[in-house]
Amino acid sequence: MNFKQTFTNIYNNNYNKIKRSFDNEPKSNDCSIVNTSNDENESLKRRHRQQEHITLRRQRRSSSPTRRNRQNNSPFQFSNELKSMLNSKPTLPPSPCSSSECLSSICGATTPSKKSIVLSIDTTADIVENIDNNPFITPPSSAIKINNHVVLTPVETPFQNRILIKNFQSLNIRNKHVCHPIFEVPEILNNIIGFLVASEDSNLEKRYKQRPPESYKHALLIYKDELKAKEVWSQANNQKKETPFYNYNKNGTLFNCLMVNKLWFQVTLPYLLKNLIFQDAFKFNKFIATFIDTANPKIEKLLFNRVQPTEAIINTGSKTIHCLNALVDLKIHICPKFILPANWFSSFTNLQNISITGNKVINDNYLIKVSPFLKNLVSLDLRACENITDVGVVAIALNCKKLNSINLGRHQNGEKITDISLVALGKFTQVETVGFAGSAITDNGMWEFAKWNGDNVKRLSLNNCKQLTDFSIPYLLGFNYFPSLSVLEIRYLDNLKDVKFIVKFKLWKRSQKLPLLIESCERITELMNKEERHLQRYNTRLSLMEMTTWVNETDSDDYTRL
Amino acid sequence: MQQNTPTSINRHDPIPGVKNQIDIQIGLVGDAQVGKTSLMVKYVQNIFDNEYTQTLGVNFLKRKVKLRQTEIIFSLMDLGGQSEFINMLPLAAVGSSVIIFLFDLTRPVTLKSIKGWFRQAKGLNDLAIPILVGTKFDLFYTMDSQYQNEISKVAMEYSQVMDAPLIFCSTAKSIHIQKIFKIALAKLFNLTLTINEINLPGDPLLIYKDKGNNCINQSTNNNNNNTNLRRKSSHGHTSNNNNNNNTPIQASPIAVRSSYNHRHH
Repeated sequence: MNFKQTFTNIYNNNYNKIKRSFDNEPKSNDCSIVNTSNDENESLKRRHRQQEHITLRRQRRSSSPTRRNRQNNSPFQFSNELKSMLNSKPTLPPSPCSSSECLSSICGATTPSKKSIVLSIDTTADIVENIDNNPFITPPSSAIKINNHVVLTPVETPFQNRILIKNFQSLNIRNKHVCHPIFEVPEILNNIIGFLVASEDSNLEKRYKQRPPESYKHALLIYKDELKAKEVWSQANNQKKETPFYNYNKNGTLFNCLMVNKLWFQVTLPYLLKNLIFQDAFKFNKFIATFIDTANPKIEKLLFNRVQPTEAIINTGSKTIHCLNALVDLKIHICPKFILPANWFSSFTNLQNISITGNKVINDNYLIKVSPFLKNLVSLDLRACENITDVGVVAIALNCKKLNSINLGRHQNGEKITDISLVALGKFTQVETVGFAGSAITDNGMWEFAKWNGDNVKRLSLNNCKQLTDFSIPYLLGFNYFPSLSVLEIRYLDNLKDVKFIVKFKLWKRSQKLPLLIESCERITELMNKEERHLQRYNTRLSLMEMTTWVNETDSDDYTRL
Repeated sequence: MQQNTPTSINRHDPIPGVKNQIDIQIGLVGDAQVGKTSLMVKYVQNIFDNEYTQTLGVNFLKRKVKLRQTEIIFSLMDLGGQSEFINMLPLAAVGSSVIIFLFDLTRPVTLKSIKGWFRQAKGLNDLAIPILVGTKFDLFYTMDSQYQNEISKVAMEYSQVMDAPLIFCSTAKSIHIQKIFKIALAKLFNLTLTINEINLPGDPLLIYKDKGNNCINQSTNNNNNNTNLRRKSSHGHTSNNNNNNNTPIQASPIAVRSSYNHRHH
């Protein structure tokens, strides 16, 4: 994409410049918004530097006295300016089609004539003149270079020459110090940043990855090919060292966008504030205290990662909740003693995804209190939250009608999750992804669940459910109770011995070219491979018999003596 | 061997067993106007057209035979008989498990040129099973019996040397069309055939026993998948059984020429 490239060039350019100016000063290591919010002084200093740079840059373009004065301001005055800047929302014109007006509003102060800039491929002589009059946007030298696509036309005929830019390559900055006017239009910039955020988000989305095998032998059983098995096995060994959680790159694209100029900062900040990661609760408290009055953040995604047991959130009441009432994603990963107050959830009406893993505090009471407010909940991940029992799950099942995915997998207290949970989910919801790993569900529960909700189930994780036997999963698959199943995890089902129907189901799906992944432990994989070979041999023999019969049949065109 | 099944079943019905799908590619070669395209069209669409249409390059048709647990797909490749299409012979020969050599029973010269076709096809694909087919039996039947006897005898000797089943057929009168492809399938998978042979000169010959078996007849385990597929694999893959049971005649196509040249002149 040319456009993206150009765009990347532009901010890289600016970023490099900023970096160069930074190089002379003591380096600050962390630049993430997380730290920014907590260390206000440090951040303000940094922003001061950045502002200074921007001012320097502007100075070359405009001789406005106010701008020159600013350079001499003390950091404290700057913090005031920053706050006022944060208070004023980025001026986004109401409709996207008014970009010409918008452009003219930018240069309006210095443009005497009633003319507006229209993006076009044509060129005319007087354009250059007009741009000359507008030193804020482009100095004359660069105007000649870029006049291939910037045209001024009278307001009376605004649509006559309006042609969208077709060749985005031409948007490149020729003159290093001046960026193209298109990047000065708040709404266009907003779209660009929004696109950037969306593309970064889509890169983050997890794809379902096959679990690493238990041993080399297991890998060999799965892939039936020595080379491939060796490769996967060595990969699996290396993977264990990787950290499972993604941290926002502290020099990430969005952060660079903050430092381009004031407008970019204004446009980018709300996006950055939508998606926050905290590693301790104090930082969250400080963040709320700092930003609640200035930036009015609308947090959509909130992630707490490894918060220490001693920390807790200071309940600042309605102010905090005001920040959070647009929350869509809530993740609390590996924080054994940390949880948000249950009464906050009454205002989280948009909450769709909750992922609270490895938490010791969350219990049935909490779920009972919270569940009436989670009308829009789509996915609930309570992995390794061992204090949750059937009671809490039933409360969720009764209240969250849109629930699509639930994970109750655990290693301890498995006996607390029984058929009651499973059947309740089957009866009251249409869950597609069901994780009951390590629970005490039985064949009865599986049958009941399949009867109610089998048609919707796409992913089923039943690892370590020791009470499941040959009488549920194989027969349920054999009688097509799970027609849309695509992932089945059946590791360590010690009482599963007969896998014939599972193999039949697998072959049937494969013959229809439908994806089906069956994750099984070494023992079950071996059983399934054996069964598959047996089935194929049987089928071949059957086919040969059939063909022999067919070949020996008499035909209508057999010769009878004429 | 692929596997295939019906796509949709009723709710909570037992899932169907997986069907085996067997894909067989058959090449048809022989002189111009012997009736390769007619045979193919007759077998696939059961249509016979008296008009002659010259095949330009290669024709391709498929016929699917559905049995209870098995689906057989015959992919027929028909090569134009004119000499200018000889460079397309690999299309019909390479990758085919069975190559059918056709000659016109009413034109001895077409039988004679089988030698050339056989030698060339054999050079391209050593593993394919050859089948010798005489066409236009309905016309041949009306000719004088002396000629009939002579042609039948020569054809039988050809089939002996080629180690190929011999079948006389007629597309116009529908004689032995189905049998050609059934015998091809049976030879390919080493199936037991119990059809009666027809070997009286003057009748439409159907001789298949002891022909085209040498490749597999040593391996008794005919249920083994690998044995069956060996035939279908490319000619670069030689089977072990070949070396043990090789007859000198089969090994050199030159022998075919030397033994038959004097008979015709």
